[in-house]
Amino acid sequence: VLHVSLHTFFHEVPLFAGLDADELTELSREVAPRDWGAGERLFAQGDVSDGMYVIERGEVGVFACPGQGSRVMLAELGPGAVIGELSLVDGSPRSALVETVSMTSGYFLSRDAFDRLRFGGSLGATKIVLALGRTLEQRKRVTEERLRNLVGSNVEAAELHSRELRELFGRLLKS
Amino acid sequence: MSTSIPSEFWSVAPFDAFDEVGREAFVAAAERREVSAGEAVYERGATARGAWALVSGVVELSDPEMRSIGMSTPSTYDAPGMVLSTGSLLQDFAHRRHCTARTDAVLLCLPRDVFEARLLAGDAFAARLLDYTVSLSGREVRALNAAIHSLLSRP
Repeated sequence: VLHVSLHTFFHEVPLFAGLDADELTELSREVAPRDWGAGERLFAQGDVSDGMYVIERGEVGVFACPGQGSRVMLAELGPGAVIGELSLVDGSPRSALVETVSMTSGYFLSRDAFDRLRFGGSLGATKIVLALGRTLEQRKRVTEERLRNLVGSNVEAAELHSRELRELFGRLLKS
Repeated sequence: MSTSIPSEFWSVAPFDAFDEVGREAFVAAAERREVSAGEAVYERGATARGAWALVSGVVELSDPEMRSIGMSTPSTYDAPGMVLSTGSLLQDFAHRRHCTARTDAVLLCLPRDVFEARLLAGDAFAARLLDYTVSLSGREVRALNAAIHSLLSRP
């Protein structure tokens, strides 16, 4: 699979949009191109988070695995999507299963490679974490709004989970 | 300047990761605010201007919307070094909660624009704060998603 100019492609990825040409070059040296056939697994829920993927072509499915053998598709993502980005700053295990839907190509940025950039004083790496933080914060607010609406519109169902919800809203007080 | 900050402040995350230079840089970058008992630190609906760190005193946090349906109760905090509204280091948004001083209190506010300028200037304390904030946001997103999944998947 032909990988297009990394600069051109990465510049279109929102997480990297703030990087200048030198910072994109620096990042390009650290990523590894990857190709997958249809139905290949990128990682499973619970796996060690060792880096993030950027999809260049094709599609991947993101699945929650609530029970043994069961899976629920959460999203289908295509070109430009970034997957597992939290692994760059957080050592938590993978929170979902990701598999390709079709032939797919992209790039892998390992946490080790990212740490080399970051702790080597790369401003580009700092900009990536800042952009990641903004994305997460926005996602957090949208997700919290959704939860609030769910709780507010179905108080009886929420009562069944009241202990967990009170604990969660208690933690969020400081947000 | 950092001598006016109690030692406990520097013993909790994220401040426990600051070296002496980082401590001084943080204190120099932050705005000190003294509030009287009963005074609002920030109010629900107001635009968040930055993160707050409690230096001394007691503050109360409340979530009126969730309180009205019994899903949240006001909580008081008195631990030096506790950080509030970390997400506002990353984005402008309107506060969802009230924060009110229950006793006379001293806080440090790090405005978002100052934080970002220090971060892009390469200040280590700002990088540590960024890591802390992003990691916290990630954990909260995961917890929120889990709660939604739990509500939707069981009767």
